[in-house]
Amino acid sequence: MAGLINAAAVEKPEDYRNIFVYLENRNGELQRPALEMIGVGKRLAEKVHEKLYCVLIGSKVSEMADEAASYGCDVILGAESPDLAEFRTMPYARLVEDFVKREKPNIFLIPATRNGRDLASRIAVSCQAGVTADCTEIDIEEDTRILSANRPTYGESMLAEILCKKHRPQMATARAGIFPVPEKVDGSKCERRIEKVKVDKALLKKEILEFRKKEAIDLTAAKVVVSGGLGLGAPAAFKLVEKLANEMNGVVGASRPTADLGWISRDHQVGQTGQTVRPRLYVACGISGKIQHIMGMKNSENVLSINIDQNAEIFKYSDYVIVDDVNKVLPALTEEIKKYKKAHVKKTVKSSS
Amino acid sequence: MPYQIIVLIKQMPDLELVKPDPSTGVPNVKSVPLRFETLSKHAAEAAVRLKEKYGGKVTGICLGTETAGQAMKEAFAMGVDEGVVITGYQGNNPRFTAGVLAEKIKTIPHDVVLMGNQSADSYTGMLPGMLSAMLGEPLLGNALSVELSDGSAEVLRVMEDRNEKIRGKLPAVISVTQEINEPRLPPVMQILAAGKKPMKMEKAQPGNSFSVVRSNKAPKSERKKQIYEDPSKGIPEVVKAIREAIR
Ligand SMILES: Cc1cc2nc3c(=O)[nH]c(=O)nc-3n(C[C@H](O)[C@H](O)[C@H](O)COP(=O)(O)OP(=O)(O)OC[C@H]3O[C@@H](n4cnc5c(N)ncnc54)[C@H](O)[C@@H]3O)c2cc1C
Repeated sequence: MAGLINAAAVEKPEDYRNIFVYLENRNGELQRPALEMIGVGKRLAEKVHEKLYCVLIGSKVSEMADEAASYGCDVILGAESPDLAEFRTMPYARLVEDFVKREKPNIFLIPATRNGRDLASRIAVSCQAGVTADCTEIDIEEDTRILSANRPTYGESMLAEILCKKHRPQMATARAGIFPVPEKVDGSKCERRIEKVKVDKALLKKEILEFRKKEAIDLTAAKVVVSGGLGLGAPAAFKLVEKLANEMNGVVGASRPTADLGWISRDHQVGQTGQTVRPRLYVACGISGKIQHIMGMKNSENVLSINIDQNAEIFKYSDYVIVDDVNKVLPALTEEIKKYKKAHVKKTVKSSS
Repeated sequence: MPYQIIVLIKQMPDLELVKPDPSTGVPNVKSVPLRFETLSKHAAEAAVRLKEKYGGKVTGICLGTETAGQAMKEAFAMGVDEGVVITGYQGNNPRFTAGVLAEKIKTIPHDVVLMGNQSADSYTGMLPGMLSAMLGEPLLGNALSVELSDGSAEVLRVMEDRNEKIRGKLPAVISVTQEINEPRLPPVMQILAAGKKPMKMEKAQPGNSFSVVRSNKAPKSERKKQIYEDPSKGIPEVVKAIREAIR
């Protein structure tokens, strides 16, 4: 085991080439984090003139390969079996490990989702690679092809830039929801190497007895997120949050304690243990701005916060701040937006007539 | 049936006190007191509840600093029976941490290894999978509840879009979510008794790191920070300012 701690560096890092990304999917559908990884991978590959390889394991891999290809990638390495429709730790890890050992990528990016973390941690062990976890900025140095992986530490107060100089592949997991989904590209060509595989049942160490889909709402794709915190004072005030969100075609988010108290369901929670969002506008209503919440919304394009405390921590992370009682501000703000939209519609009608 | 349970205990700095040094921008982590990390506290609670339900013994293992005995004593007060404190923690370096812990865990007969699914200060989420791989034991991850029976564990686990009930053979690694329980506040008698529980002190062999930290600084904040103290003026201005974003 000591060998694992002091694992030998690879002798010739230059033998390791190209960018690998893992495409998270479920039941034959690519998940959003998969598309985010294609976006990041493409940028890195272009920068160092290497190829982007997408690793795709599941059922219906050919269909998913079509979709992946439409975002632009060079090679799809696939393994397909009906037994792989759901993420299964051991067979998935084995297959990915085989791809890595065979193709020797310089870089391997995996989304920091629950399954992605499971996979990445195992590949790091079996392939003797370093992994920088939960990155929010990812880049590559052109001359050295060294991955610059940036991860927040100590509750977002710091950003650590981490390099892995001696081990290959250089692995990173990327926080889901942080990176944009790339544009589709017309007529992109890619090479497909998809194998049908048989899953050795002995590898299945866990049984899935049953699962229940959550009425999960996906906040990560929303353009506007309006979140409520304890400052709302009572569960009923989430109605005001919802009205504002609806007026802006947005979705409702929440701080953790409001979910703990059952004011709203857990799937609305934003933050370290909830979802990570990067909308064009994030509105924080009665939220203090504790680091664990900030983690989930820091990359929003614009942040508006409403808080009664003129020294609230959230103001450090805000573009616009209204200092007052949320219960007063929310209805007034909703009205003002209604008014603005009406005036705006009228104007465009006039100018086009 | 009694179970041998291992729980992994972590220390973390009080995040409220971590600030960048004004001249270098580097965090003052070294001078901030360390406390019992949140998620491992939930894991300790889960471990003690399993012991209370099925019988058995809970052993805490902490890879930490010279002050880690304090966190271990808190775990003792909660009901953990004995502990091993290994000094030589190398900061947020999951491969190293997993290697040291796996080596130790292999020397202690066990049915279950409990731990947090991601720590509250470094949240890499890498440790459960690495330990599972190094120990060759299945990982039942992100548990919201745990039940043991007939040499296997049944876990309700929380995924992004679903909850799953899964079963795996023991010995197994189980990582817990924050929602699994509310850690107890130990009564005074237990706190006093905690000092008498057996605690072994050991040292980790320093290991190479796979990676180097090139910089660690406070991120630049580029927020506009326009503050409106009079909402009747502020609201119309804000709406104007955000109009692009909500189109
Ligand atoms: C390991 C860990 C993980 C965590 N994960 C998350 C997470 O994912 N997401 C998350 O949100 N939290 C998380 N937390 C909790 C986090 O630390 C904070 O406790 C939480 O974010 C605070 O929620 P809040 O802002 O709603 O409440 P508070 O901190 O109580 O803030 C309420 C705010 O409302 C303001 N206010 C009060 N009355 C009014 C009024 N009438 N009008 C306007 N403003 C008013 C107050 O000034 C205050 O700023 C986590 C904590 C830990 C330890």
